[in-house]
Amino acid sequence: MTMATQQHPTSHARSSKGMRNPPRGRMSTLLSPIATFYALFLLLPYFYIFWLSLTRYSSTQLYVPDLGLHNYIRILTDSYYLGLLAQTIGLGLFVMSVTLLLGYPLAMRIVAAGKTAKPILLILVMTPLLVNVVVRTYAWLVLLGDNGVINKALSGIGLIDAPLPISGNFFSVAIGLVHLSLPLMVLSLVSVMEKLDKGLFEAGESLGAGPMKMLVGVHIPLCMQGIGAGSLLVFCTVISAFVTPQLLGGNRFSTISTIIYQKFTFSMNWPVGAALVFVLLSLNFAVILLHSFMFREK
Amino acid sequence: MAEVDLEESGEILKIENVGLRYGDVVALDDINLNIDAREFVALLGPSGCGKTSLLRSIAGFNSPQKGRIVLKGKDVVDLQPRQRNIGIVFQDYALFPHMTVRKNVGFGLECRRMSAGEIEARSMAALDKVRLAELADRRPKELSGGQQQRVALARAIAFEPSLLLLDEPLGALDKQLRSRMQFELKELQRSLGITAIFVTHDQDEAVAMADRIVVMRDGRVQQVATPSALFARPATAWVAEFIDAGNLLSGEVCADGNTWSVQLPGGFTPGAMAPTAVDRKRAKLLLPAHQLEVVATTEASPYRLASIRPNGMALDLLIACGELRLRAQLPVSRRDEFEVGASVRLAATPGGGLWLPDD
Repeated sequence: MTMATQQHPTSHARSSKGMRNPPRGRMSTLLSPIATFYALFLLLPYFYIFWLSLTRYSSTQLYVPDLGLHNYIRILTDSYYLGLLAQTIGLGLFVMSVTLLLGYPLAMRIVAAGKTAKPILLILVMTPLLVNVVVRTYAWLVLLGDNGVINKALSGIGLIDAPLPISGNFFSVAIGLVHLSLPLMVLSLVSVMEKLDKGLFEAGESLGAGPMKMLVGVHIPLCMQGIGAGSLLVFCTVISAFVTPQLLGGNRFSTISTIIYQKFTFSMNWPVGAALVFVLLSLNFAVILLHSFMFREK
Repeated sequence: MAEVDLEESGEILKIENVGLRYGDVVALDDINLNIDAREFVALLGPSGCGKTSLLRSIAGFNSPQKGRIVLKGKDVVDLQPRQRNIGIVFQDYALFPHMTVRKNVGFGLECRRMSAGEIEARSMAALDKVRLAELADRRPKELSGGQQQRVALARAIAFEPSLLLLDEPLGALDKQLRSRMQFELKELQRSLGITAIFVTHDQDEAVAMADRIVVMRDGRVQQVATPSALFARPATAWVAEFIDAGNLLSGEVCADGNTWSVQLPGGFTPGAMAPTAVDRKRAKLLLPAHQLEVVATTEASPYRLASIRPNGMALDLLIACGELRLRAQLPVSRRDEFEVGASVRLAATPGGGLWLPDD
């Protein structure tokens, strides 16, 4: 529940008992407990971070209130930060595409499953969400690490001399994030596919459509809303993800989130860290707006 | 668009001993049916009679366990729907919501890998046939029910299929639109020279459109006849009742030479020539409404006029006697002879009755 679901202050609003509500002014809305809670714990921290993002880094005092947009300008012009943005967006797009390619046939299979198989398949898909993200990600480390299961097995057989660099880079982070995001994509797709009118596929068949034509010409266009929703969910989750890139990216691969963490804990550059927070937030907003535009009701 | 193809004649579809069951339920029981080129055939029956199962078997959505379905000389029982070259108009039209009317109609042509020019030409020709060419760029949700139905029709005929199947095509339309569409559909079928089979539970619709009617019940064919033959000589009492052919009278049956008559109250004993191969104990007399003679009387009679209603050039009378209800149809000029609630005397027009087996 957000502030938006508070009642509008209208003097003719009626309660369910049919009695007239007393006129609500803006003051009483602001003073209501939920509003206060949100103001204190959501808005205030945001305002503080935003203010922080306008200050300047100081090696002696953490930050000085020399307000300006210098941090943002630096982020948007410095090649290091631009590269970081590109890397993060690239990760988002990659994971989004992989989960779509893997998730689409999986969702089709689930929807076509019989009464007993379907709930089992759905639970299997959702199991990653039931386990804590840190535990889940560490499991990948166990598999992919330099001393992990895969490397130990391969060197034990004698196929390799040195450990394969399968952790601490883009691909290990991507694998971990695909594992995390696949349920989101699959569930978005399944909910749309379940509602499909099967009569349309009979019509397509009667008109002579083969499996490819059916998939590309009928099935995918009808599932567009689900594809859009799933892609949005996955992309935003991935660009904002912290634990998985942190643990599986090692020192070699960073995303905006891991650099934010670094700025606040190691480099103690809170102003730039705060600015990065809002850059990430804006990125999320931009993608949501893009999605709304692309999938608007024509 | 190819008009009547004079080469196309003879049998188009032959259904031989087709049997279909779902687990324990028998949907089709030994169906045999021949359909000739350019015929417009109705599958008529109550829900659950198997008419839709039969249509779907012809289309290829069902796999009968027994029998053959021979389309243009080829047994298609093992062929997928998309290989059968059959156009189908579904009950809810099943138009692709994400495509324009033009693309919907062209879908079957795209599947046959025609050139873009060819597809455009044939799509527009089909839309012209159903007089919807100016709405080619609309989407299905912007169209009325009647317009959607015509798009579904255009889509089904665009690729010139061997056979056209229609599943309760007019069910979703309002009464006025329905009568108009019955005429248009029949005209379209005639001008295209295409063989068509449609499913309906409405006998008025079947009579209005079909060249022949296949009456079905519980997975079996009860009778196949032209509309007039069907009403003149229904095969059984059940068929007569379903198509509402007239009064079905049962009771004590007396045989007198060549005639059987049924004993009804008040000395009314309508009869007809004895049928062959019908069990006297399981027979009913069909007496159509216009073959029942009604006369107002002052004498005592168990028959009372329950209601009288004008029906075009005729008069519909309902006569009651205890639980029995009889319908009669008289010329409208005789209206003044009758008064609701008064006693009436009944007689059967000679030769107007028909004995039918009751099963």
